[in-house]
Amino acid sequence: MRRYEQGSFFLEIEPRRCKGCGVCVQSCPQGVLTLNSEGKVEATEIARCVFCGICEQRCPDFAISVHKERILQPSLV
Amino acid sequence: MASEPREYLRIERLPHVWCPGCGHGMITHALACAMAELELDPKQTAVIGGIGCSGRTAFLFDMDSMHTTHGRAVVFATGLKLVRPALTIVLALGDGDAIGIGGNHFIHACRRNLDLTAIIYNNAIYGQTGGQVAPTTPPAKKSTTSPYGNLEHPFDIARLAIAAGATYVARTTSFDFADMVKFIKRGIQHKGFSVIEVLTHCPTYYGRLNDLRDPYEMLHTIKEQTVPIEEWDQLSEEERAGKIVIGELHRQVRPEFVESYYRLIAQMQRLQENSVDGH
Ligand SMILES: Cc1ncc(C[n+]2csc(CCOP(=O)(O)OP(=O)(O)O)c2C)c(N)n1
Ligand code: SF4
Ligand code: SF4
Ligand code: SF4
Repeated sequence: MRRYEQGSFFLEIEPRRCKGCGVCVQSCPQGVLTLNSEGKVEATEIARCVFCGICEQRCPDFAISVHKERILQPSLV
Repeated sequence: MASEPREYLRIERLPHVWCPGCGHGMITHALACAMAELELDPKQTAVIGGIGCSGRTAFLFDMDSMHTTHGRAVVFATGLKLVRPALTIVLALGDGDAIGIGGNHFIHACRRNLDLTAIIYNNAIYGQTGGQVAPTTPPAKKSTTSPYGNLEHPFDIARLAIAAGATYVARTTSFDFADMVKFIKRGIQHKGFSVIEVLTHCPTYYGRLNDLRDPYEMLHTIKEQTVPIEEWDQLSEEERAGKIVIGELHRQVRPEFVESYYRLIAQMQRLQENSVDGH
C-alpha cells in the first residue's frame, strides 16, 4: 500500500490490485495520476489533488482510496 | 454492522479475475457502497450470482453467497427468500444470464414480485465464454458469432422487466456511479422485485471487436448514448432514435409474493386451530 499525503488528506494506492487500465489516470480532472513503467498507478502530482474522489469511484479494482478525514495524531487524541 | 463499503467485501480475494478496466468492478463497488449506506447487516444479506463474468460478484462479498448455474440464480434466490424471508437478497446477473438462458425464470420472478433485487450487468455480449452475440447486442454490432454485424433485434431489459411485472425498475450506466448507488439502494428498500439494469462495458470482447478497446472511451461512449428520463419526454421520435432512456423508469405497489405466502399459511393455521377447538 502506498500513501500520498497532502496535509491531513491522503490517497492510498494498492499496487498489487492495480491492473493498469488507465481509467483513473484519464478520469482525474487534475492530472494527479500516472502509470509507471510497471503499469501501476502512482500519484505523481499529489499537490494538485482536490480529493474529488472520482478516481476511487472509477477504479474497477478497489486499488485507490481517497481519504479526506483528519489523520488524528496519537498525541492529540 | 459495517458502514464502510470495503468491509462488505472479501478484500483478501482481490485482485479479482475481471479484465483491466472492466465495468463489472465499478458496479460491484457501487453495490458495496449501497450496502454500506443502508448499513445492511452482512449476517442478514446474501449475494447470488449466475454464471458469467458478472456471476463472480458473489465471490467478492463477505457474507453468505451462492454461485449458481447459468440463468438460474433467480430460482435459487426464490427458494432462499421463501425459507429465509428476513434476508436481503441481491442478484448479480449478466445480460445473457438474466434474459438469454434465464429469460423464462426472469420474467416469472418479475411477475411473482418476490422481494429480491436484481442488478443486471448489461455489457451487450457474452463475456466469459469469448464474446458471442447476446440477446442484448445492438443491431450491426460485432461479436465473435456475428462477425459481419448483428442481424437480430435486441431486448430492452428494463422494458421487458416492466412488462413482465417488476415493481421497481431503473436503468443507468457504469459511468453514473452516484445513480448506480442510489438506484441499488432504492431497489433494496423497495418491497417487491426490483431490477437495476446497468449498461456497462466489456473492453476485452465488445470493445476489441467494435473498435472501442480503451475502457475509459467505452465508459464515455455508453454514457453518450443515453438520455435521462426527465429529458426523454421532450424528445421527438427521430431524436430518440439510437438513444437509450435512463433513470428511474417504473415504481409500483403490488402484493409481494413471500408476504402473501406466509399470510396464507398463517390463515390456514388459524382455520385449522379453530376447527380443532370447535370439536
Ligand atoms: C447451461 C449452460 N449453458 C451455457 C454455458 C456457457 N456460458 C457460460 S457464461 C455464458 C454467458 C455469459 O454472458 P453473460 O451472462 O452476459 O455474462 P458476462 O460474462 O458477459 O458477464 C455462457 C453461455 C453454461 N455455463 N451453462
Ligand atoms: S481525488 Fe480527484 S483530483 Fe485527486 S487523484 Fe483522484 S480524481 Fe484526481
Ligand atoms: S483505475 Fe484502478 S486498476 Fe485502473 S489504473 Fe487506476 S488504480 Fe489501476
Ligand atoms: S471478458 Fe469482458 S465482461 Fe468478462 S471480465 Fe473481461 S472485460 Fe469484463
